[in-house]
Amino acid sequence: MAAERAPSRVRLLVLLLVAVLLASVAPVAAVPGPVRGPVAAVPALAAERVQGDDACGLLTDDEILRATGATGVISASPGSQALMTAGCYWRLDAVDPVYGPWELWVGVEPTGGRTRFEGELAFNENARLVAGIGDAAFVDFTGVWIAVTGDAALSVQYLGFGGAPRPNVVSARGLAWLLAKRLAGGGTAVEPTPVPGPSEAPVAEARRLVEAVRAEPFGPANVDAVVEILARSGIGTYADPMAPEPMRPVEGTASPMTLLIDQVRAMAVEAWAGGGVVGEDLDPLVPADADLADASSVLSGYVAAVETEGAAVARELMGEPDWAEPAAVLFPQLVLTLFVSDIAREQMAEAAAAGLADAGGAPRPRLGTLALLGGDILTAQGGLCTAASDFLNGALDRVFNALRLGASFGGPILVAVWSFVVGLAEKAFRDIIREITKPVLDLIGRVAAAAGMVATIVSAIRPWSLTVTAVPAVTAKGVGGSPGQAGQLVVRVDLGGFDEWPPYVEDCARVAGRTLPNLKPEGAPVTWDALIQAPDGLIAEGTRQGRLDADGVATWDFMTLVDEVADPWEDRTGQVRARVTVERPQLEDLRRIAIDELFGLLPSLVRGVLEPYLRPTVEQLAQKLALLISRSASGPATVIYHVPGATPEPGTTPEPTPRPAAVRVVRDRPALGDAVLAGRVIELLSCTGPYGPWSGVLRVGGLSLVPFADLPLAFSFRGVSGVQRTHATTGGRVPTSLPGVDFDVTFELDITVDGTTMTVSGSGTAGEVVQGAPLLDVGATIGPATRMPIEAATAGSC
Amino acid sequence: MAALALLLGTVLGAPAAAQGPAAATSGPLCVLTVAEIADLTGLPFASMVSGDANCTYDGDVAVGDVFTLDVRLEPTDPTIQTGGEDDLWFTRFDFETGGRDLTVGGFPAWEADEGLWVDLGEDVFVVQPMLFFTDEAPAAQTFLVSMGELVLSRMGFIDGS
Repeated sequence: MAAERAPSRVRLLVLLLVAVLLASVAPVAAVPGPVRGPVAAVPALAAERVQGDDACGLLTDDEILRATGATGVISASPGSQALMTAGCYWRLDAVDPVYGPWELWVGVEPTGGRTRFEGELAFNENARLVAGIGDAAFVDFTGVWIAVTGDAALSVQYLGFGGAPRPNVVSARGLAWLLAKRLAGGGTAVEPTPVPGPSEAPVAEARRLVEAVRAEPFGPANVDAVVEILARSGIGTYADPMAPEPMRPVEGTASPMTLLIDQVRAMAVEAWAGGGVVGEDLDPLVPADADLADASSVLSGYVAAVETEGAAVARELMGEPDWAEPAAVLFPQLVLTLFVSDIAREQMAEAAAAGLADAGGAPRPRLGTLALLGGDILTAQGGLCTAASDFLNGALDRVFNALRLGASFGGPILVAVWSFVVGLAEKAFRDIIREITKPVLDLIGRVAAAAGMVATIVSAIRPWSLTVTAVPAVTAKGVGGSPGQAGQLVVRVDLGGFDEWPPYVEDCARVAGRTLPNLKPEGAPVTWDALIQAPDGLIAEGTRQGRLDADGVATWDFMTLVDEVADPWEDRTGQVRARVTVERPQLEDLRRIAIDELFGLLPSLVRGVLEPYLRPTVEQLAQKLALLISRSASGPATVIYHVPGATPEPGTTPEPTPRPAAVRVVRDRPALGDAVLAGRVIELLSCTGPYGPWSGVLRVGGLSLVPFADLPLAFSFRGVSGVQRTHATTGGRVPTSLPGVDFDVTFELDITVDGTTMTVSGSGTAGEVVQGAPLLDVGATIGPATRMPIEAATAGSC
Repeated sequence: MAALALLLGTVLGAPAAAQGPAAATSGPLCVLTVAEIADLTGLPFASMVSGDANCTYDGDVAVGDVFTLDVRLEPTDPTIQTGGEDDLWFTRFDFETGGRDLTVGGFPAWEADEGLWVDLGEDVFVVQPMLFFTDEAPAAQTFLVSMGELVLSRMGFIDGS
């Protein structure tokens, strides 16, 4: 049953597309990944060795080295691959280190894989079926082997260039054959020997998950990623208040924190858009003595210093804000949720270790407050609003109990948080309590409780995201005859494509006899606070809009000023911050619905021993809820300014090295035989740092019949820190050395930056054009992502 | 696909010995028994599976015999315009290591570390062992040509001896 073999023109077209990915095998700056130790063979059914999303146990290191000829296994990273449930990604030591590392991706769909295989086969209609591997197998245009055995499907992709002892196709085929045997139940499998790396394992997964959260455009996949993030931190997401089980099973110790899917969707929109709650709006919720710290400092300690998977996600999401000013930092509700959950889970574990019978609450989504207050009060009303109120208050009740305020334990998370806070205080010459004393434990517990309340309440009643960003993210003052640059502060209300209130909010509004605001933001008044410039004199303010337009956007123009500095000068980084309030109609109605209907039981929850700790927070929260819903702030917009390039006086502290204004990424592709020429295939420049607007070229071709051709590429990112993702399109006509034959190509690219590296992935289509008439089209995925270090651009680039 | 049609016709009259131990594993390319493959390679092959245009021989993975060998026909690429004399241009490029040109039964062929390719005209006959998972593997060049000639002779492409 040999299908038609791909004709050579098709090969050339596919090669034209996928040759871009060949760059990914070139050396890349170290990217952290989990490193597993040696594996030991034990008899077992291989299918049983797929644990959750971890398929690393299906192959031994020895088998991989034999198949590929690599000299060693650098790392094995478990996790979904090729959109299959389970998988593993190996990085291998190349025979010639110049070309390393080699890479192997294996995806496994342990059940339901036959349907997946048939779908893949239908999609790859020209694929050549390969007999002898599982029940059926084929290779797609990009060289990915896809096979099915029984109801399990698998995919194998392998890239190893430079000294490989055998062609990639043979290595991949051999591994696909062996995996198919294993998944059919034959042979021996391996017992993974996890080596608990310091923080590398969470980082790799956290990066993947945050990239999924930030993927464009926003949609269900972004929400799913947040559900997964929460589940991996023990937090269950429920489809509705009465759902008996979370939508995704939680991992590890179940958190007392639980969420409704509508809350998670709101958190996902906010995290995607780069929004959050400003630290200075959180601080008043937890009044603290002078020798302690603000809530924002405690939260900063969690994000910056804690080694949990939740904190790793927070770091990827938020990047490296200026921790010296935690009050100015934006904390996404997702981060607040992960924080309170990690603190609560640690307290539960410490209590259990201490032998306390009630170590905290497991999720009881339907019976939380009912159990506490007596069901008669709530069930008399019935309805969705009551069920949601029960669910939400029940979650907070369990969190409060788990935090053990007044009797809390220390633990690694609390110690890490406070160590960071003490470090911040020392840098600011503030004298605070250094030891983990009861006041410190109580403070962290109160901050956690406040974070839990804010995240729970705001996400429950605010399905939109409010963000303020600078466009471009980085601008520069004029100098040496160059003029200042124009920019805008953009306030945006994002609904994430949703146009209806969560059903329980609508029901609560009905019960309360109140009118909900129109979700569409058009025309909402915008109040801009005075801009904060540090140092002064960075920009001149221009026109500002006072209402949101039809797209939910309002802008404030600005122009950077000019530095009168003689050559030579040095770059310095300044910051501009904007705060904005978007007043929605019926905001007071919404606040009353939250306070009276959804969270009317909150004051009751904090009575008794909790009262001295949480009553001030609850009262503050009731007063500031409208503010939390309607205000937001920009992350710091960066403005490059210039100072004379003088040598610091001996004994003085030099200014910190500024972030380079002009940066670039390049990818140099190695040659592959005579068919693929070596060359620089990606060349991009930003004159305003990693998060600024980028432009340059994607260079395609460089094949035996297709000379190199430049495709223009330009894009920018929504945010200015953490992992940011954007989408770009490029294309054009690529001439060939064949008379009258050209190729039309189009690339759809996903581009991610994290401040130090840029990752490019995507897909392309290529069509053959003969004498101006299109003849043949093929499409291909541009293989695995290509990650490149962001480096300083050469002088004079900008 | 002429060679495949020829093959299907030829197999009807293939020697009884080539039918394999079980009917379920018989097929147009399964013209060598498991025992013959084991004898040619010196490895304990344990099973074979027939496809429409291939035959796969496997070791018993369950007992640690992790190796496989595939005999198949592949259609040639009708659009190849290399100016060469055969359809093995890509093969020489793809499977360069240990490669050499030769003839098998009078057909142009390419033998390399990873297999044997014989240009039959409209199809390419392939013997591809994957023995790299085991320490016991012989060098492919010690059996590829003899195995290829034996298969092709039983298929009727060349005179058997």
